[in-house]
Amino acid sequence: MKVRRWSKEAPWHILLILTAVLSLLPFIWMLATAFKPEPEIFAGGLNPLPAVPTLANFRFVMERVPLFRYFANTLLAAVLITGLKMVTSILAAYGFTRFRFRGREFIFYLCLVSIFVPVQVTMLPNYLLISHLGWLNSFAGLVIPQLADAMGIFLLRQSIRTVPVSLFEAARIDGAGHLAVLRRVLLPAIKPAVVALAILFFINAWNEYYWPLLVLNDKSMYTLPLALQMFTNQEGGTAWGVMMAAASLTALPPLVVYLLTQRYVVDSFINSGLKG
Amino acid sequence: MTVIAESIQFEAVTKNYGRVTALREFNLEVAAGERMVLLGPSGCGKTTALRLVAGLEEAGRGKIYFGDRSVNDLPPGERGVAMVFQNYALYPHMTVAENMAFGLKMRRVPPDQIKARIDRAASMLGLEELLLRRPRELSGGQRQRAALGRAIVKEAPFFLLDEPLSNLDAQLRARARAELVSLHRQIGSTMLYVTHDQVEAMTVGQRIAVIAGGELQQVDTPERIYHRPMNAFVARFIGNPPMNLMPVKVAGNRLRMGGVSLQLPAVWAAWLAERPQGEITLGIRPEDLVLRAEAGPAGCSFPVRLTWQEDLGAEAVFYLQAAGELELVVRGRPGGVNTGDTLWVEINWERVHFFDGPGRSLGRPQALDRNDRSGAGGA
Repeated sequence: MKVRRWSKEAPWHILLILTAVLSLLPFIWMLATAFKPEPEIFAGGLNPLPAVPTLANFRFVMERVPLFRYFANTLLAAVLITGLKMVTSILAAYGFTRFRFRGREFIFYLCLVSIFVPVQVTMLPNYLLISHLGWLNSFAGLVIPQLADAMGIFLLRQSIRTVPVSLFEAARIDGAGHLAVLRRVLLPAIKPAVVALAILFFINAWNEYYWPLLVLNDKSMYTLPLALQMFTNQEGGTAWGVMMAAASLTALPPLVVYLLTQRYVVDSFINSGLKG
Repeated sequence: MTVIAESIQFEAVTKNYGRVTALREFNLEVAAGERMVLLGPSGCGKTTALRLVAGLEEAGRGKIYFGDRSVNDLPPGERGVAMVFQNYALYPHMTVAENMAFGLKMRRVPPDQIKARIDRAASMLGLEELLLRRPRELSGGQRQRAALGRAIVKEAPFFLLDEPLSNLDAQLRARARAELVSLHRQIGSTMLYVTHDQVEAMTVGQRIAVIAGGELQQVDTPERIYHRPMNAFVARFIGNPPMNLMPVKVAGNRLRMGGVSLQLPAVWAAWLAERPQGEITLGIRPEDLVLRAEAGPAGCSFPVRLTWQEDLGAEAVFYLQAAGELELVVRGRPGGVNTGDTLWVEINWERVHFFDGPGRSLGRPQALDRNDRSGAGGA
């Protein structure tokens, strides 16, 4: 029996392991390159391991740019965007599921359609708006246009709809107002979905490149993805070791966030798969 | 713990969902402290009536009164209702104790009082050992009691239950019915209990309101609902197997149904002569028909063929066919007969019902009620 199960499952496991290795490869490559001295990067063939590991690249990054400043900028922006975007998404999703009003479905689908509009289309009008408001090169200009997200509203609405209506009704009979229902009953019930969405929002906000590039001029306000770009040098050739060291440092925080919360992410995928 | 109960009154309440009318001109008064059961087939409007009392739905037209105040505009949280949902609706992330405490916290009841009330309710329901468990760690019966506990800690004047036993297995249900009645005696709230199960209605209700098609059919004590149904719907809906209903023609002291002609007892013949003539229906419960192996006196019994029988141990249900495609169900003692046998049926005339064309009860001769044994009194 056991052998038979093995022979049945082994191909799948091998496939999954291969996929995992493939998706890990760029990450490992980046990390390994960050520890290689410059001449070794292109000399070592495809061997990812550095022959003589060095911290020189990291030291260089720390010395050349105010990395902690960028780190703080990015963290502040990402945390604010994630937090506020969660608030707007949760409130909107709650409204779209729990309130009955004329035109509700129409407004919801209108909101949903905005997912299909490419960022490049809205980028310019947004830029002009921000510029008229005098928010160019400001934190407000960086953060405020990113505070609502149709995708978040859609995903949360889906998970709110899986919560039995009687739960809301029981809470209302218990005398809870809408905010109390939201906080004490609904959010705990859909916690995995909320956490998973927050992680997604955080990673997106952390990695956001184009919008900060448009809005921010002042180098002291740069976020990490913008700072990374400073290490690519079209004329003199890019210092790849340094670049990868900076990239590794940039990728670290989202990774840590994910590792700390992956239980919820996996939970929410399992739930959506089995109970959907 | 006794709460100050109040009456509930529906005054010409109509509720529509889009084009569907769930309740039409609904009038009902539930006395303070009474156990009233709303009984009807699914989709009849009984749950709508309950939700209107809870404030989870708004009445389209008409008024709902608690005592003498109209509560139409009062939100659910301010109505003083406690409700047990069909699926219990326990908060999944809270323990049983937290579930019970939630409504009290929302009402800012002091913590020491919350604890006292939870302890009291837990001991009434035998929940002491389960207070720290979450709903998913409970069995069906335990969840049901936790939901009851959450409702009774509120000490609300109104206690609403929406099919609270439908998720329990049969044995547990029988015990839970008795527990519910004794629980109600202890707390004394006005209880409104929705069910589609007639056994639950008969055992739990002090009075039963039978609802069909969004309209009230009859409100009465369980005995009178059973023995004095006001229309053919109530007659068929209550009782298992249901009452036999047969279209009949009356001419003088003869009664014809299907291919069977019978002699009417004098008291019925005289009484029916005074009723409007035309299409009428005779109703008789399966236990009020007597099955015999041989014919009785001429005109008093009629021959039938046994098409099927169900032996339930203590009793049996016989499915019979008489002349003129007439089908009957009779309840009696099991044994001694075989499918295909020809038997004779005699009617217990003291227990028959007559309904007019639209199905309204015609009532019964007063002379019969003098020796009535049903305890249901006159019509």
